[in-house]
Amino acid sequence: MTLPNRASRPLPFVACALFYATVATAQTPPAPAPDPAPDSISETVAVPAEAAADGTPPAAAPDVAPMPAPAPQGRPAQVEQPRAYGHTLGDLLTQRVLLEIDGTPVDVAKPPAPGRVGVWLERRPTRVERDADGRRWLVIEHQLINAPQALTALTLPALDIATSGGLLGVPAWPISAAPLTPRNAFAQGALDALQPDRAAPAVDTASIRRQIALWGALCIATLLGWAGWLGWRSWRAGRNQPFARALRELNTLRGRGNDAPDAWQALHRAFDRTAGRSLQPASLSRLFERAPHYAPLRADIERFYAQSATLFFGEGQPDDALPLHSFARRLRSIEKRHEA
Amino acid sequence: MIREEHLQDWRDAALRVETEVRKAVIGQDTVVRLINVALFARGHVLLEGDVGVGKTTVLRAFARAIGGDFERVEGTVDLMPNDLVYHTYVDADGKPRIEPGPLLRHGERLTTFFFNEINRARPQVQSLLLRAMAERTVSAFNREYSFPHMTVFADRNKVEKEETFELASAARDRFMFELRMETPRDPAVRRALVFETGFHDVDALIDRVAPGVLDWQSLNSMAAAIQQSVSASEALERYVMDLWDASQNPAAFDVRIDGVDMKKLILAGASPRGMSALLRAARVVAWMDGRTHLVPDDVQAILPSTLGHRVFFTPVYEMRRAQIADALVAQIIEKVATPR
Repeated sequence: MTLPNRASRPLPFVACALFYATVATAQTPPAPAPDPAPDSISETVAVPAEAAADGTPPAAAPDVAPMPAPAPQGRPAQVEQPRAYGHTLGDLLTQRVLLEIDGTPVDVAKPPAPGRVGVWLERRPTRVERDADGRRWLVIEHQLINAPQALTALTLPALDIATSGGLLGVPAWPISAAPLTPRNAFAQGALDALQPDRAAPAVDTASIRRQIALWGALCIATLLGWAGWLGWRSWRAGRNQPFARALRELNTLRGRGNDAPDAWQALHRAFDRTAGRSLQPASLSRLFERAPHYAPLRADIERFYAQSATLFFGEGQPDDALPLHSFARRLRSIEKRHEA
Repeated sequence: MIREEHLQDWRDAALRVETEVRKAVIGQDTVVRLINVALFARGHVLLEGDVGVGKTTVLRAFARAIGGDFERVEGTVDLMPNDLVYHTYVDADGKPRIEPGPLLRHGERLTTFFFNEINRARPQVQSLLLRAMAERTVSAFNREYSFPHMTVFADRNKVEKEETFELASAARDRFMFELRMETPRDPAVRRALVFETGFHDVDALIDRVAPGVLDWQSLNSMAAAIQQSVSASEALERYVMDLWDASQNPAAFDVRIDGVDMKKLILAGASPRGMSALLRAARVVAWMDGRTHLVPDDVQAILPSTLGHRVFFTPVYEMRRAQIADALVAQIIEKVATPR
């Protein structure tokens, strides 16, 4: 389990902790030891006193002091240790190891391997930093990956780092890890360790619902009213406006072709209603007196009457009969433009 | 057998008659046209008009143009039927003599018989005239006299009502047209009638008309040929039937006249004789227009003169006949739609 670092921790606190850790490390007496395997890293995995064999965290060990860790073999390094206390699951513990032996800079020959270190810690890949004075530091980060059920003492393992100048010994560093929450705080009455979530107070939505219903209904009513008005308008146009009605009749007659006498008659009735009287070629001027806006179509209207006279009273179907549907549409568009 | 070419020749002759008459009579184009139509439809005409508008002049001009003899009779309250048939007097030798009256005098040569102020004549005289009009025969001196080419023109004085005998409805129905001859309104025509000396001498005026433009003896057969040559389509038949219905029940066609209860207006609509006269006249109009089929405009052109005097109003409205009849016919023309 990898958790993000506690980046939100206040900066002054971190600085103070680092200072303390550095001082503490400086006070730690070096423990020189023979190097059993100069090319390898000896490491001691620190586990708490009650660490279970199956890896489960110990139930509780508040009073147990950390076990004395095996001392490193290499030459004692100058180490800036992390803060020793106040850690909990997910915390990063950073050790900075000065890459110098007896004042001589050395290079890391084999950095400590990343990976799981016991039950509690996971080591990240190390890196080398250079400080303002130009000195190089090996940065070793461990992340606390388990949460103890009681305050527990742990140890960052002692390390022997192989360098170009021999082994560099990093001593073990005890830290304390705190549980996220105690298992049983009091175990009395309702004082259980884990309190159930407090129910969030429900906001009263009745009035909001009412408002939504009201405005929604108003909106729908408006839309319905609008649609109804449009429908009524077109119905009224079809009823009251001669060419709208004629066009509708022509649409119903469409399948019967242009020569259907009904289509001609529908247009005749529309002209009659527009002029307010029965129109014949001789009385066409009455149409233009009453509805002068049809004057631009005068030639076609006269042609319509001439052809209609041929169709109904004369020889029959005229040769180049006017396309009634488009004629009616043009008349309707004029009518629409001039509707009161 | 009369062929199409004959019809065309006669059409030219008919139009020429009109042109000739217009040399003598100005400002009465409609009346001239309708009298011409009546001549070729073989119908009689009742003239009604102001005093001194030139009724006699028109008729004399027509009589001269079409040829044949012209006879004129003045209607008076003491005129008896016999006065039309024979004339008795004592001759220079002191012997009583009987001679044919105005009706018989010309025999078959009589083409134009003008009965002036017919409403001053007694009903007996009117009924004799009606028989002569209907059958074009009169029985006298133990034999039948026939006047196959006669057209009767009667004038009804509309100014005086005293000592007059209003024509019975049956009598009026026998006239194809009832024409109203009014004083011309056009200022130029009025000025010419008053100031141009040519219009002061009626005989000289009549002399302007070319005599015998057509063969009056062929008028009857030509009229029959004209009727044969002009066809009426189904749509036109429907239109005429609608007009007939409208003359009987104008309310059904939404005919409205201000101040008139349309449901109580009509006592009797046009008679079948009236409608056949309408169609006869309409066919002549179509023929004069160079067509072999009828269109509604033909019917509308003669409808006011044909229908106005054939619709009989209830007594309440009969007194206002002149104004109501005109409005009724105008409304019928406006409201009866065709083609349908």
